[in-house]
Amino acid sequence: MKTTMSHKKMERISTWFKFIILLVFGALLIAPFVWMISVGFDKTANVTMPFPPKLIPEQISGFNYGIVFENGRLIQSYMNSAIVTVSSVLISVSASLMAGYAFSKGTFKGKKFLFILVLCTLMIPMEPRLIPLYKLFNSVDLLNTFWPLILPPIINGMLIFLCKQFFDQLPDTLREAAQIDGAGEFKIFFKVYFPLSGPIAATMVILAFIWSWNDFMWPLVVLNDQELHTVPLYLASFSLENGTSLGGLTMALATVSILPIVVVYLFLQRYIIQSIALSGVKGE
Amino acid sequence: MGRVRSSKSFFLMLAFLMVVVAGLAGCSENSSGESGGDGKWAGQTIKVQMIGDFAMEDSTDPITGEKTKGVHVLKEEFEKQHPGAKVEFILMPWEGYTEKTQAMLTSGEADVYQMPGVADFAPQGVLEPLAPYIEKDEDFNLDIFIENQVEGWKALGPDSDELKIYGLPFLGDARFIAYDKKLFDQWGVDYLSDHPTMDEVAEKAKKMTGKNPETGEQNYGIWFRGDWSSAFTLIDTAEGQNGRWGTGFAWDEIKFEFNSKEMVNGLNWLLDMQDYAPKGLVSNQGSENWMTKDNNIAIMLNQGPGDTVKPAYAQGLEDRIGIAQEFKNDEGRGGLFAGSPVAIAKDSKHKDLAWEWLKFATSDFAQKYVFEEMGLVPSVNSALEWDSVKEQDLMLPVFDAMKTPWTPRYPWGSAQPRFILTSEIESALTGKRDAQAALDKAQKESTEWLENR
Repeated sequence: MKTTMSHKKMERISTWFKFIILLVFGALLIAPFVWMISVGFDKTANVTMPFPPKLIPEQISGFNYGIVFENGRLIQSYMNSAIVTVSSVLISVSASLMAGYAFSKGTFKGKKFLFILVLCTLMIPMEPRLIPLYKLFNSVDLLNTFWPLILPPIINGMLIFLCKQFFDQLPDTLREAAQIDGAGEFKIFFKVYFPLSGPIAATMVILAFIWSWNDFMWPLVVLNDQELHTVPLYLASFSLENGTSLGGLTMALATVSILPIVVVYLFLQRYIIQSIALSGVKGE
Repeated sequence: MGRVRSSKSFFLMLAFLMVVVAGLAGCSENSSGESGGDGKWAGQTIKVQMIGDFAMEDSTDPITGEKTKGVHVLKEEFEKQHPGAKVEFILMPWEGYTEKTQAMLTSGEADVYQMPGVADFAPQGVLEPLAPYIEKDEDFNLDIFIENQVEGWKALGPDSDELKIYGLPFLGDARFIAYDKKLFDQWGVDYLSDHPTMDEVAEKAKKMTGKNPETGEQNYGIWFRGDWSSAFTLIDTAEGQNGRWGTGFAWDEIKFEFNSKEMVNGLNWLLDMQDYAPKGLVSNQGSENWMTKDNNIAIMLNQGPGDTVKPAYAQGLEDRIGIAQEFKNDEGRGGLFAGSPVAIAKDSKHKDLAWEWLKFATSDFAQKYVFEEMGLVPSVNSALEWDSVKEQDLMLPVFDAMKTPWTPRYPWGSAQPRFILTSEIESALTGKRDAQAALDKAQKESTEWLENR
């Protein structure tokens, strides 16, 4: 009886110990976000960042948020980012799912070569592609529109690779059974494999969403009109030449600009965990 | 069945969204047709690219809290002065400006560019040489600019070994030594002279390091960035001893002198100054209280007007801040040349109107706008007579600082040698190498980079 009591007590202590450790690490992880929100309410941080960091500013002010929402430019940039991101995510995820399926289950000539070609796109950074892509969109008179931001992600090496890896794990027998029933490739994809691709699709949505939402250099180059600027461009418009930044304003902007990503992540986080478990993208 | 239905509805939704997106994306195209109307410039539209926190509409200054007018003011005035002409702005942030400018020049996107990188772009043959316009235009005179400004922006063309004017000074900038008069008073130390020597700065920095005799708080004599701008801080110390960074302007003519006696002395001096500075120079730390009432640093090396003048007035510290000149050589030259010129694109279709814009951008109207609305530094002599400038005493030594930097500007200032030198200064400041070894390495690596580029 005594042993049981002591065992229960030990378990309780162990639970509390784990709880405290998690609480401490949780607090450490969330501290930069709390600090970001706090500095956003500090007008003087635009001149000098408060040091040492304070949880609550000495003079709480909505000054920075006033500038953030001034003239409706942030709202406009949100709408622009939303148009670009939603379109780009839909197109890149749909195209990658189909390409991934083709590379996984398809039987066609040059499959391996084409797949290597797709993987090669991962090795070329944006910088060397900048001018050729710019000239390409200029030649079809699509600069200063959202199209250059929506169309290029159709071929996304990383997403296609993830999809192929996912479909590789689904049994070929499903496809064979459907073929016996007389289904063509499109029917097999849409009716058999696509409904099973929820977890990987959710992961891809999250990745594509973050890439598109945070993209800076390419939108900067192709969008000239301030009315078309996306959120990162609006954010950068407050940067100063000499490498310093307006701390309070930047933090207020950062707080407002990450909200959509936080919301999307909160809605989709269980799928990403599920997909990691299913597709083995945990780096093993 | 449910899954089939859901996949069908997914694709229906996708198709619907694609149509909506196509509509929205298509609608976003910016119409930039030629303007109509009468007048000498009828039918001509120029596109002007500007970098910084410029905005079309009026907004609030994040530092001062005052309302500032948007660039529509410039557009309205220019169009009024040039009947029939139309101006369109392409406003962009500092971040990524080089890449964007390169892309825009490649496809002839704008007629006029704000172009801090004129030395890199002029050799590509994408800019219009301005000498013919200057010679032809009787209404224009280069004497309007603050001394040294035109010289500083000269660059090499594609087929020339002679420096030419490709840009007119638009925004001024300078580097100087700022100091806190209150701390000097509390320590009973004389303010810095207008042109201090390294010995004077070292002696005063040493005196003001320790417990403040009035407040008892820890004070530091000096501070400088050991990372981002340290290459320029070091070069200035060499110039203060009649040394230099090297010679040449075109890449195939450049010869570095990064490990000269003056450079090594300069780095040793910076290493000595570390003893009077707070810890964390290399990670840009220790100056957190600068420009606040709790400031604990007496002397700040290599400061710019953007992080000194406007913040000082916004914080009500204008009487407390003093400005002295950077170290100069026996000819009175030294320090980093900075700012932005404006240039005309070679393939501009309306070069005459673009030239009119250049003159307008350097006129009192536009220069007053950049100073009074944007808090940026004008590039013209007449600024010294403006009431708005006279109200800000701190601007006077800034204009002095603009007259004497090393020109033409350091041609390697935005290229790999700067980062090699910065990295080696960091190595010395963090004790990985002594000054001689660090600068020998910087010299070797920069020279190799030059030979292999």
